[in-house]
Order: sequence, then structure tokens, then C-alpha cells
Amino acid sequence: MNPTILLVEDNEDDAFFMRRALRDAGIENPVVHLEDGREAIDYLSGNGKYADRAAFPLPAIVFLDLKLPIKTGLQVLEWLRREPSLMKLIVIVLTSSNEPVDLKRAYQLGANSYVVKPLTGAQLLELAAAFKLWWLKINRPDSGG
Amino acid sequence: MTISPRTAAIYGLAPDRKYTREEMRLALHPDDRDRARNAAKAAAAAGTDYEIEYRVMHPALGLRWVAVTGRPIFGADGELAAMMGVVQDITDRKNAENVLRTQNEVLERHVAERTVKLRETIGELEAFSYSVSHDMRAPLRSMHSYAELLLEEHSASLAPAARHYLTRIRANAERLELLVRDVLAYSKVAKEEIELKPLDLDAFLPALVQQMPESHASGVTISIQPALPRVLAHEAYLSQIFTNLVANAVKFVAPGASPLVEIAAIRREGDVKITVRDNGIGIDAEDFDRIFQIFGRVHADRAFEGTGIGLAIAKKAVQRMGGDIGVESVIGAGSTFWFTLPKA
Repeated sequence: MNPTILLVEDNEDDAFFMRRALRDAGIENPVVHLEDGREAIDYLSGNGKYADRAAFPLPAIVFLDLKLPIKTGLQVLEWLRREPSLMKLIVIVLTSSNEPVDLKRAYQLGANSYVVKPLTGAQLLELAAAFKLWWLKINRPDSGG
Repeated sequence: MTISPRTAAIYGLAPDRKYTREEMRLALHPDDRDRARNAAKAAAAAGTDYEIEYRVMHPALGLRWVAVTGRPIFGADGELAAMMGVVQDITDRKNAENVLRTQNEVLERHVAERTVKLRETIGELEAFSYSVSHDMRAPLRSMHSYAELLLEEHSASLAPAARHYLTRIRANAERLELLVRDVLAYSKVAKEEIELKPLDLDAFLPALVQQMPESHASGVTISIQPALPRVLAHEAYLSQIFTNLVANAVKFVAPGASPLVEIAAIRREGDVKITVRDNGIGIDAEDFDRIFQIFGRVHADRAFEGTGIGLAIAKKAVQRMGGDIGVESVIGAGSTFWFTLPKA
């Protein structure tokens, strides 16, 4: 079973295009889309309706937007790096912010990668294909407990 | 001890009698008594003159500030025989100093308040440019992507005019994205704090040019004069300046012509002058100033792609590094852009 990809993105258009790009790049992993930082934390900790891990599996990789409602992407990142079970989770920040301050902070808090959302569909598809090759094929994650 | 009539008047004491040392001491403000005694003792021990300022309690006028110059007098046997002093009323001066100090404090408070306000304004501007980069780009990206999607997946069911309109929507979204990018680059160059460091152009320039897409385009020649001098510069700004100047040099050529760009630098009296020369279409002398202004384009959008901010960024970057920028050009005979930097 392909591991789940979690997409935390409040902009429905960005989420729509990202899911398309992942699909068009031939990525068959299930993609879970959440729209705010609070939901992401609930999902990752298995709170409330997310308690059933069969229905809501822990993702192997998270695409995390920074500017999110309720809890920001940086707050989510800070929280999950303190969680023993989530410390090693691969987090790719996917944001429209090209600000050095965001980039620096994201890496300080333990992001594995920082990607600025590209403008065109072709660039997004290229990003998805590169993601597939690197993070799903070449990269060896530490999935042991 | 004997005091002069003038001293008696300053202290508010009766002039016609002698005073004991203790009586004189009690005339001083209690807080100043020890200090005055210690100064006199130290001067007597060292055999030197001393100067001191203290307050006396005038019975009628209240506290008065006095300045005293004292001198120990030694007898023929070398023993301390007496202390002699000159007393001056400096109350007016002290009051003036106090007024001045109060005014200075008020002034400093004003400056501090203004600085706080200025910081707030700068913070607001930063928040604004942050929001431009973040919030305004998102809808732009979506518009672009949906136009693209329609063109790619529904092209067959669209009338040619509809397809054409969609390509215009897409092109304009791309243009707006470039504008946002350049406006941000400009505001960044205008406000950022930078540090100038010695930089070896000889090592820096060939590596930079190698990275430019223009240097790999067919028909384009970019030559760099060997043995370039060292300069004081902020590396990111210098990259930005060369990138913009070379991009322009390659872009603004007559149709069909092969761009030839020559980069050179000479060491001068107080600075280094760097030149970027091209064989392009040239610039009218009356446009020399305008091209360095933001959006100071002198060509129709259609003829040459660009946002019209590149040279404004270059100018701001040069100025931030303490240099100057300009152009010499003749229509049809190429242009030479020059800028100066401090010597390393």
C-alpha cells in the first residue's frame, strides 16, 4: 500500500492544482487534503474523528503551506517536531512566500525541504515529477519507530 | 577663619566676624559637606590646588551653587599653615544648565518617540511587501492556472477567438507576476541593511556571467576584460546589477543582430568605474534619465519584453553601495552603461 501524502493547504485552487499535478506526475499515493493548521494537528495526533488510523493513516510526507488559518504552518511544524512519533515525518513546506525570514524559520523548525509555489502548470508538474523521483523513489526515509 | 565680604554675601553670612571651620561646614548643603571636606583634605595632602562645586544654604535666598578654587598654604617649616579659597556664585549657570538638560531630555524623548513611529512605519511597509509577495500572488497563480487548464484541456471546444483571449489572460498573468517580482526586488534593495565587503571582480564576474542564461544563447558574445580591480560591494546587489545590465544589453538589439557585450573596469582616483558596453539599438540622450526611473520604459511593451524596473533596481543598488550609475549612448551605435564602486 502506498503511503499517504498529507496536503495542508487552505487555498482550494492551489490544492486543486497541486492534486492534479501529483496525479499527472503518475503519483498513485492517496492524498489527504486539510485546510487549516488545527485540522492538521488533529489529524496527525489522531484526535477525535481522526482516531481511526485505518481510515486516517499517518502520512509519510506532508506538504505544508505556511499561511494557514487557526494555526500557521510554522506552528504546525514546531508542534510536530516536538512529538516523538512525528519527529522524523518528512515535511515539505510549499508556500507562495519567498521571504528569507520564512525560509530561515521553516528550516530552523525542522522542515526537510522548502519550495515556493510555481506560477505555471508546467512548473507545478515539473515539481510534482521531481518530488516523485526524489522523495518517493530515491530518498530512504527512517520509517522505523 | 576669615571670609571676604563677597564670600559672606554669597553664603548669606555676616561679613564682620571670624568663623570656625565647623560653622563654615554647616553652611553647606548636608549632602555636599563630606565631599567638600574630602576635596580639601586631599588637596592639602597632595599640596595641590583643587576645584569643587557645591551648594550652600543661604538663609534668605535658599540654595545657592558655588564654585570654589582652593589652595593649601604651607609655612616655612613645610607644614600646612592655612587653606585659601576663592568663592564664586554659579547659581545662574547651574540653573541654565538645568534648563538645558531638561530641554535635552525633552528632545531625546521626542527623537525616541519619532524613532518608534518610524520603526512602526517601516514594519507596516514590510508587512505590506510581505502581503504583496504572499497574498496577491495566490489569486494570480490561480487565474493563470485556470486559463492554462482551459487552453490545454478544452481547446477543442473553444472558438479561435476564445482561445486567443485565454492566451492573453495567461500572458497578462505572467506579466503581472514579473511585475510583482520586480517591485519586491526594488523595495528590498531600497530598504535592506547591507554590508560592503572586498570583492575580487576577476573571480566574481566570469562565474556570474557563466550562470546567466544569456551567455549560453546562440549568437551572443559576452567578453570580460582580464585583470579587473577589487571593489567594495555587497555581492547580491552586484550580481543583480550585472544581471540586469547584461540582460538589457542582450535584449535591446536590432532584429537579427548578434549581441556583443563587453564588460570592463578601471581603477580611478577614489573609486572603480565599471562599464558594460553593447552593440545594441542605442538610447536617445533625452531618455538617459528616464530609463533609470521605475517603469521608465522608452519602448512599447510589444517590441521588447520587460517590466521597466530593472535599471531602477540597478540604480538603487549602486546608490546603496555608495556609487553612481549612468549611460553613454548614440542611437544605432550601442550603449555603454557605467557605474562606480568604492575601491577595496
